Formats: sequence, C-alpha cells, structure tokens
Amino acid sequence: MALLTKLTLFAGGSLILGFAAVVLLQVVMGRIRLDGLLDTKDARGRRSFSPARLQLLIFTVVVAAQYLHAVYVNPNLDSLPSLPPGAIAALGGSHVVYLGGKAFTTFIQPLFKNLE
Amino acid sequence: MIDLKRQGWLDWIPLACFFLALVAVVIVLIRDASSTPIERLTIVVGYVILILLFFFGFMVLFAMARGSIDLSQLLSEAGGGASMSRFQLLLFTIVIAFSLFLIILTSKKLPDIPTGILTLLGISASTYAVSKGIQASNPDMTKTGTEKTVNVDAKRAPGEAKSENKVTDAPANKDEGSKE
Repeated sequence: MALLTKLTLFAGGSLILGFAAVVLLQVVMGRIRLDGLLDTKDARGRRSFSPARLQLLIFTVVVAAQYLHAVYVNPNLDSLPSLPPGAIAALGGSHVVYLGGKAFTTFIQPLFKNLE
Repeated sequence: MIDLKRQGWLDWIPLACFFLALVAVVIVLIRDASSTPIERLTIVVGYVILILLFFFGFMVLFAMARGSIDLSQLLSEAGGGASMSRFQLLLFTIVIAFSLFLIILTSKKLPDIPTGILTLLGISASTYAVSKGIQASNPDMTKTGTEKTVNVDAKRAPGEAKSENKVTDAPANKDEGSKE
C-alpha cells in the first residue's frame, strides 16, 4: 500500500505541475494572450485603461501570494489554511468595484452619451 | 480536433497501460502474499485506476503542450482582450490545487477544506458569471472591431462604401508622397 501511495502522490504531483507549467509557458510564449487585461471597453467598443481591473489584479495576486506563503510556512496541517475574514471581505469589495465599473461602462455610460 | 492517428506512438499507450497493470498484479502477488485475497484485489484495483487516470491526464497534458488542444482563448473575453475574471479563476484554481497537493504530500491524508476557501472560489466564479451576464446584455460589446466594420459595411450601399474608401486611401497616398 505504501508503494501505491507514493506512486499516487508522484502521478498527482506531476500532473498538477505539468498542467500549471503548460499554461504558464503558453502565457510566457504569448500563445495565451494577456493583452487588454487591464483595459475596459465602452459601449462603442473603444478601449481604455481600467483602474477597477488594476485593483482587482492587485488584490488577486496579494491574496494568492499570502495563501501560498501560509501553506509553505506550515504545510503539516489537517486542513487547508483558512483565509482571514478581512481578506475575504476585501476581495469581495474588490469584486463589487470591478463589476460596478463594468456595469457602469455597459449600462450607465451609453445613457450619458445619449443625453449629450 | 485532435488527430490521434498521426501521433503513432500514442497508439501504444493502451498497451503500455495493460502491461503496467500486469506488473502491478505481479508486484501485489509477490509483496503482499500474506494479505487476504480481498485486500490484494483492492490494491490491484487501486493500481489499475491510478495507471488509467495518469495516462489519461498525460495524454491531455501532451495534447495541450503540443497545441492539439487549443488554449489560445483560455483567458479571452467575447469581445477580444483578456478577461480579468477568467485570469483570477485560473490563478486561484492553480494556487489551491498546488496547496492541496503540498498538504497531502506532507500530512499523507486528505485535508478538510475550510469554508473561507469555498467562499473565495465562490466569489471568483460568481464574478465570472455576472461578468458574462453583463457582456451578454450588450451584444455590441461582444463583437470584435472587424465584425463591427463588416456589419456597418454590409448595411451601406456599394457606392457609399466606395466613396468612404477613397477618403481613407487619400491620407495614405499623401504620406507616401511626402516620403518620396
């Protein structure tokens, strides 16, 4: 049974790392395109820089890095480390801002344009 | 579409799975000779499932790396450009899968998943869904620039389109003239 456990861990680990590596490599090589990640598009299809997307990106990267750090520091746990409620609330707020910005450019901005 | 016929050596994978399963049976018979038949059967089934899952995952991974499974639109939005919500969902999925693996590797048992993590993934997935809903409610935003141009041109009379082409060509000729 010990050999089966070791082989299962090896197979699972190599597949998870493999999938992550393939996606990361394709991002680096430009096959998976990231251009326009921080841009928003108004109702007329014009692109412009979006601060809402930037703050969401920052929150996402910070929360992901904080989580990986928590696992790396103490991996010998019975459960996955929990996120502090403050971080979840901050991320939730960040999502609200992102969706609010998107809804504004989609629904509210065209109304103002029509009034002008 | 994946053309497995061209990838000759991939045809040997089912045979390799079969031989590995046979090797697993032999290993179990030699190493666990003292255990009961039902225990040995359990272990053999475990080996066979592991072999099948690993090679299935390996073939998908190989097709992704080779480009047979196209990942170019993995992070793209309907109207062009990268999607922030897709990017976030991908990042969180990789981070949590990697963390789960690391904890299983050290503690050798399946850990509990706290509600905070489920909330995190729920927020991320909900944002993706709402974002798609907002996009779908405004069909103009889901069209790319070229699609819009084609639609506008299709609505115009042929003569009208020609006259506009003349106007757009004019500055280009002017630039060429100035270079000369």
